[in-house]
Amino acid sequence: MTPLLVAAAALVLLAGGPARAASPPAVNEETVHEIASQLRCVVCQSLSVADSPSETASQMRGIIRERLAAGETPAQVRDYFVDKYGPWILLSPPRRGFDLLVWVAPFLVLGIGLVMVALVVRRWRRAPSRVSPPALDSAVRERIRREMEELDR
Amino acid sequence: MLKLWNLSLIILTFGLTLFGTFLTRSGIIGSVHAFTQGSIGVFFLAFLALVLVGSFSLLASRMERLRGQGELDSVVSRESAFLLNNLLLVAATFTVFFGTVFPLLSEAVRGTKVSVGAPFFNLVNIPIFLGLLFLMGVGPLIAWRRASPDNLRRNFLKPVLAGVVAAAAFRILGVGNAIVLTAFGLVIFVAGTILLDYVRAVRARRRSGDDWGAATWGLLRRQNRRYGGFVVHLGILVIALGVAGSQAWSSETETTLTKGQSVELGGYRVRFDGLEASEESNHFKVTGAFTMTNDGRAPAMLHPARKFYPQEQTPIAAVDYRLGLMKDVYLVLGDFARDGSQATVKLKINWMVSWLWIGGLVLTLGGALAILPDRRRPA
Amino acid sequence: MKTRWLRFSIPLAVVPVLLLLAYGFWTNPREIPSPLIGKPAAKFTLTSFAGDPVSLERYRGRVVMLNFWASWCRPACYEEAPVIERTWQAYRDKGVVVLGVDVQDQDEAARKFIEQFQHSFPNSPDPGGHVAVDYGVYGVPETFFIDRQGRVRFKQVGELTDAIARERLETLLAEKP
Repeated sequence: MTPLLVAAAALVLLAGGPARAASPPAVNEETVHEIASQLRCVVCQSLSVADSPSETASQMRGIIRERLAAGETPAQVRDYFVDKYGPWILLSPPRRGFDLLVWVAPFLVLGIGLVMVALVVRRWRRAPSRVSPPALDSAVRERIRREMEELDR
Repeated sequence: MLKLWNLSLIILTFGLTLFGTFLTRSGIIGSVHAFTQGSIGVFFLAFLALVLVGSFSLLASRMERLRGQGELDSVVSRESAFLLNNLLLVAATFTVFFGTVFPLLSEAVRGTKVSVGAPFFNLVNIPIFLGLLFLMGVGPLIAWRRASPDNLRRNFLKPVLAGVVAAAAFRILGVGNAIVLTAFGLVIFVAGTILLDYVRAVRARRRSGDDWGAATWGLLRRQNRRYGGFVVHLGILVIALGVAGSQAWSSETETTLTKGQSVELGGYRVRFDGLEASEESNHFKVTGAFTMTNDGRAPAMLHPARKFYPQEQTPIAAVDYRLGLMKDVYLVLGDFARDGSQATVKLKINWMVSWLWIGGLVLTLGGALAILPDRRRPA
Repeated sequence: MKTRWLRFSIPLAVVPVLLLLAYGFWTNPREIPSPLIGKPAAKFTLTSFAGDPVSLERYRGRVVMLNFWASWCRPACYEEAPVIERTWQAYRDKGVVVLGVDVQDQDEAARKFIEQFQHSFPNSPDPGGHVAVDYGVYGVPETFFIDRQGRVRFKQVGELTDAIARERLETLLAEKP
């Protein structure tokens, strides 16, 4: 029983992370969340800092909050993290230089695709009808006429 | 028509499923599923190469036998809509593929590591999926070969007007996001086209004496492929509404509460009542007690917890939640003070997530309806 | 007939993609190159476990080996802990300072760790993770080598060995102050 209690006690102590000090001037939580959702959590693969449950992400959110409270703009906060971790920390590559390729390529493909669709449509328009419809016998023709009349009534 | 394209897509599909497995298992991109050692990655890549190069070569050498010929009379026709549909889906596929491979490309070309994550995929795919939504409304009703202006007006004027009016209404109701408004407008447009087709078909049947109920039943059974398809589209519309609503209105907040203190978000108020520790069979658990009230409804007791496993370095969170038709509320327990006087919580309100599930159900039912065997009236 | 070879462009078009994927075998997705190399090391002031203030600025003019660790980081931090103490003993009189920063840890466990390895250099906890983020730390252990002018020169991700520590320190000590 005693080892269990000791383990329990140890684990309770594990839980006692630093309780937050008196909160700094109110920062818009939505802004914190927005910036955090653009940063990559460094310990969990491809989760954003906003969504990650890890301790590191929690600390990073705290740092974002502090920097905003100190008066930095969201862009400055982001730049700070990029300075420390490199462009990898941003979940979306910047729209500059080589990285522009990933933003432009999908629309380029869409454009090329549209051109190809247009060409195909043009080719199909010029194709003459090869098969002429089969001749209908008069009974079928009469039935068609009757049913069409019924529909139009 | 399109036999060559059809086969190419089939080969590509299989290749992409192999590619997806390869990515996660080979360790090329970080993944919890990657095999850390061993040469399975190499074998997989070799197999992928064999499948793609081999199949496409076969296709290339047999190309003449596959040349079909499509025909249409006008750019505005169902055939065109079908081609556009194809294009949009392929563009979406390419976007995901290129975005996934781009970090590798960036590193190979210039040695810099970049990330391509959720924000990119969401941003670039949204216009494509809005386009698909639009085509979903146009496709089933537009005429084959050539859609005359009359055909267009008969089929689309009212739904288009409905869509525009709906978007305006949502704008007045306070939705500001242009993309969400477009999505809502398109959903109403597509729903309008489905409704129009259905009403006309039922009216036609009623002339032979059926009432609305029997007419509907008859449609569903006789033309189960067409109307099953419409039900599937309706399911997709419900999902689209869920996604749009979720994006537009969901919110979250993270804050530290002392005992008795409350946090408010979106009409909900959550009060921190205390912490309780307990010893479980293989872990140690700290459970928080929270009271949630919402505009006069009966208060709910929430008990998010943090579980500490001896072998794990980080605790595992057990979220508590309340689900609803329009809103889901999640409460996550974060750090807390040892004496139970303070706790950090994350409160999330996710809108219209239930709609995704409901839409999925409708979609499945529609699919089941569509694949029912034909019942033909004996001639 | 001219178009006959053209048709095989499709299977061939797949080849560059396959080559790119093959290239992926040589890269490590978890290894992020540090943008801090060559830049001035971020200043910090922490309070050590012994209660004394530890400030990086005080050590300007000496070579600094800054080690990030945690008591839950097994086995790497445990394997390198004796290496760090040995390095400290060997180089403390040669103008080198060793500083330890404990990340996301608990007081009791950290003190036990320090005691286990008899660390005699200043070790400090990093509340809020400010110093860790300031150095772009994304896992433990990580060790930074800072030159006499206060610039980050090398970053060791993962376990430190005697050989690597020696090599880095000798390089930085050999430079003119």
